[in-house]
Amino acid sequence: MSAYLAQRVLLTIPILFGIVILTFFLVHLIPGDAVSAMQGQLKMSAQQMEQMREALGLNDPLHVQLGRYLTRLAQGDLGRSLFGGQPVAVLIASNIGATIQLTVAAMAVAVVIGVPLGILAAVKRGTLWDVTAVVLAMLGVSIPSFWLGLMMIQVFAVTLGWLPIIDRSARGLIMPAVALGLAEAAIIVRLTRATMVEILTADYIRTARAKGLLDRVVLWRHALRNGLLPLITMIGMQFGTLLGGAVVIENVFARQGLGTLVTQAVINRDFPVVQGCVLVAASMYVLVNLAVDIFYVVVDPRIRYS
Amino acid sequence: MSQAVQQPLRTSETPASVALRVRRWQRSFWRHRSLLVGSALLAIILFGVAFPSLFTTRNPVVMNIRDRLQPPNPTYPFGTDQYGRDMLARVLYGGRTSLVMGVVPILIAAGVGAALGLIAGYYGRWLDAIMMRIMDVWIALPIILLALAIVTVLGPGLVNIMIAIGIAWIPYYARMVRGIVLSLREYSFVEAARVLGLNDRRILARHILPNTIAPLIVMSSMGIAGAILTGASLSFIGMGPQAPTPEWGLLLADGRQFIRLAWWIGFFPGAAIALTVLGANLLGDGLRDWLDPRMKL
Amino acid sequence: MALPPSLARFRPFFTALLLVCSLIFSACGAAPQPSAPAPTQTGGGAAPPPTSVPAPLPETGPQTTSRSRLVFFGNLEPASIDVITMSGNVNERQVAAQIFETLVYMDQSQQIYPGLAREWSRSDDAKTWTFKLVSGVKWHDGAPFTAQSVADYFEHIRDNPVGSGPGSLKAVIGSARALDETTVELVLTAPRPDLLIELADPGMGIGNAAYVKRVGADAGFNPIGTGPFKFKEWVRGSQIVLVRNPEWTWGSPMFRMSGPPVIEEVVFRFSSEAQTRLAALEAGEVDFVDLLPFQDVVRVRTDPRFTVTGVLLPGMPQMNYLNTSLPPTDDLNVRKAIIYATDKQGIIESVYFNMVEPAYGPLSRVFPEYEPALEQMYEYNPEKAIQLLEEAGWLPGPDGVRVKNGQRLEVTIVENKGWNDWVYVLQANLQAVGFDAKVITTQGPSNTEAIASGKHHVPAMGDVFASASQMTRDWHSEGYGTFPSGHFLKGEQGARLDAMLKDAETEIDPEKRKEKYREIQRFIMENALMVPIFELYFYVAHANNLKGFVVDGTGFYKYFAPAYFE
Repeated sequence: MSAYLAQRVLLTIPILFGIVILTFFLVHLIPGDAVSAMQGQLKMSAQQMEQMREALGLNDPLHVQLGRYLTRLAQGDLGRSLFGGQPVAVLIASNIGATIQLTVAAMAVAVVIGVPLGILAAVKRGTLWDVTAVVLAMLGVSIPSFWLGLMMIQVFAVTLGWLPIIDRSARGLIMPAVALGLAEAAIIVRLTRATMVEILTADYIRTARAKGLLDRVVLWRHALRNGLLPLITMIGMQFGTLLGGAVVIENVFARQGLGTLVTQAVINRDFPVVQGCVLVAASMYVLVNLAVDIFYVVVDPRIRYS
Repeated sequence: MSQAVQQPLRTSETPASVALRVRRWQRSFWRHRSLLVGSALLAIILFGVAFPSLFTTRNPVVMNIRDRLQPPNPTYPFGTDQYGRDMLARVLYGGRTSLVMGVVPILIAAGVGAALGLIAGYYGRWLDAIMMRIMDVWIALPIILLALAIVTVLGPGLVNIMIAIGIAWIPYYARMVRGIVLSLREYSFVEAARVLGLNDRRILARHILPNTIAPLIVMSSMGIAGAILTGASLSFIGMGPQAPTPEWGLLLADGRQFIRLAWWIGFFPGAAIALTVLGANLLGDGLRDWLDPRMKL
Repeated sequence: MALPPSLARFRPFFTALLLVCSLIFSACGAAPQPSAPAPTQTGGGAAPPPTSVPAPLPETGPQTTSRSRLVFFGNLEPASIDVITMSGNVNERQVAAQIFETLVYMDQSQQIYPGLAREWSRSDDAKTWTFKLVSGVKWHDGAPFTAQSVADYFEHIRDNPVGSGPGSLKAVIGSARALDETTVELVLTAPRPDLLIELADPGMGIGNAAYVKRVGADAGFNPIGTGPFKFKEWVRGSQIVLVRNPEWTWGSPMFRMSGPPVIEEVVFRFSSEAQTRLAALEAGEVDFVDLLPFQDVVRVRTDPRFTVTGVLLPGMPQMNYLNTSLPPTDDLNVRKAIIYATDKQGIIESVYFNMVEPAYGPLSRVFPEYEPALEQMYEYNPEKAIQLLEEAGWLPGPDGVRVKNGQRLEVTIVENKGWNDWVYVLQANLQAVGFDAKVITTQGPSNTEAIASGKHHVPAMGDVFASASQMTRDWHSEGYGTFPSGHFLKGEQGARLDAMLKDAETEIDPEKRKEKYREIQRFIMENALMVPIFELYFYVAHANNLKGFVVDGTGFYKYFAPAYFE
């Protein structure tokens, strides 16, 4: 097991490196450059623009820029924003917390809604409960999250006045988390239902029941514990989707976060910021999945890894 | 282990569990209803989008300022927007762009992804290892972020957005197809074909490819749903196709400015997106049961 | 919660999940939420009117605390707050206007007031300016503010390759020196009769050059000024918080106050979603929103909780350039046809809900230099447009698009997304008279590129400025970055317009200057170099109980120093 874990951790390193290379080139394929982007805001002459390009190193060949990028990255330096010159690492650090908050809260919403519905559907499979749960799940993945967010603002904040829109408190997190988490909830309903159906009809559960164990004990101790494992894998896998969704939801709710940061940076062609955001988001995804895999190995010794 | 949701196949099936599930799915009939409902829903939408002139005689881009901001009424069943354009016509004609925007990226992704998956899975060894590591990197970039970055490189616009979404979806298909190929490679019929001296191309084309079709169709059906939503999201943050193309995501994004004044401008395109995505998802669900009951989730 | 019996056995599981959730929600809460808004608070939603409220709490009560915090909801977060490298982001100036002070101020009636400079004089050629500064001023870090500070500032912006202030001003700064502790002399390389108006721009707030040299770019994230509010913190992506400067007693007479501000904190938040900004105002979460969507103005205006003000933004009205260097718009008749075909009134009604007024030329009607004769020059007349096109040889083709010598009548319109929504009506108008008009949508920097490329016929544009001399940046062939008009007018005519602009800019005599600018406006419209669309109005809404703030000469920026809550 420890050999597998070591291998798993080692495999992460080339992936992270690949992400660094990919994001560097992706961002440098953008036509035009940051200086012509800044021109719009600053009203510079052609000569001033050329001076600025030189100062920012944008005139160097691409491999020189990459080399410089990697060297700095090794020192934890993600470069500076081309707008205002703040360090990218600082920008990301001051935004990432809010995005993690949002994604974790959205996942929590998804689990709170999804797991009970999924269990309900599995336990009552074939009945109206089941149909309702599955149809609700289908609707959940079909409604665009930003539309849901806008509707919620109108209903719960403006019309009813129940929830704040831009408040930084926990209550302010409710609407964005629900808007972002509902589609995930739908996916979790389906997963939970499928897993629970499988487990409830499995031999060992029948054996346990035959032995006269109480239903509740059977479900709680045996069924749910095993059912939770695929759920955790799913949470790891869906983390990327949630990060992507956060880009849109943060814009709807004017929330601080990586999403609003990256959207603005894309419009401004602020290369270092886009680079940093994509790099950090992808690395987070890789690390979350690494953690899930490790967790899986530790929790479920039945699984053998070679 | 890190598969996408859209990847329905489990490669670690045992024959016993497969047989069990086959029986179970055959017993539970209601799931086939999702196939029915899904295809009916899509058929209605496709019909409307294919023959908009049967439902409205108006042009989706012609402005009629006198009739602006009309709520839904017998003349304008979906109302009009701020320029007096008929929302019904805009939704119907706009559906063309939206459906294309959902289908083409998935064709790109499924085509390229399946080819990559076949090659990686069949030839295995270092090629597989390298390709799968590349897929690991690729898949780590959230779809919207990756598409956003690609659209920034290529510039906004319908074609570029389709390429961007297509590229972002490739690794999901590659992984799924590779999984199927890996599991098939061990089967005796592939072994036998190889011993008989059939060349790789024939083995791939005759014995392996057909086995990937059903899961590809199922995954693509759900992929279309996802691609439509991704396209709408990109439109929403201003990276989508350009007006006056009445694309649904764009209509919805425009409608949000009128959410208080004229709800119908955003409501109908939003509903069109939701229903189409719902139809595609139901269809995918139903197809999975129908085509290949081994597939799960 | 009543659970179906079969689910009841999962209750412990639900409880655990809920617990996890509530932990997450509570753990990430930054500030505790007040249980209910005080009835008299800004836009308290469904709260009953405070008629039955007993004696008000003492001044130090919680209500006062909540009222001494002003929240402004703008549309775009600035990259930094730096008067040295000031960008074109209006919100940067909006924040800077609270932290920094300008030498002079200008109010909405275009009257100039003393600021950091209490008196000034200029040489007859308007090249040498002397400013007598107010004494006793301190920077926010406690260092004394002197004439040397002002001299350093001007030399620093002159030497800095980027940004700051009106485009062409920096180019004419010759030297600046302190004559004594409170007197500074500014020498320009060209006459600048409008200097005071330019210096009143919040972007010309006097920055601390010594500090900027010491800390570099970080000065923009921890700005130090002399103004009524001190920078406190900037949570990137979330908010900028300023706190009252208790030592600030040297405020401009324009503010009509003697002591420091009464508002404790000014908070700036940003969202580009107009509906989100509006919803936050209506939910009572913020006190002030700018760029109110036109379609919502009437509704918000009738809401008794809010005050809506609309200000005509002076400058170049919203318009479309007509590119003379590219066929078919190189033909005067085609350009005139485009102007006649444009249904200004339709645009104003459908896109702007009658919240703006028509424009007739390249300069807002609020300037004394405005040429009223332009109002009679063109009208909406599609028949005339068709007639002009036919005269020019453009005849109807098979698909309704006009053709001449096998060429289709094709033009491209450039839209800057979110700012030029009228282009779709313009497109429809042009199609109606036989153009094949395409709209190219751009955003941010790609807009500048598209216009600067010179490859498009009808780029949309608009500009905000306080002095007619800024026409240079919109029309001179050198252009200033985002104002690359020179690409559009080539040859002799272009040289003539350039010369007229330079001549008018340095004219000191007000009457002659007025006539020179009027001539430029007639020249532009007679040659059909643009399609005037409308005068931009800028609507802002604020809570009714917010009083006292002062608006600057452009109408765009607010000074919150004298603001208070009633």
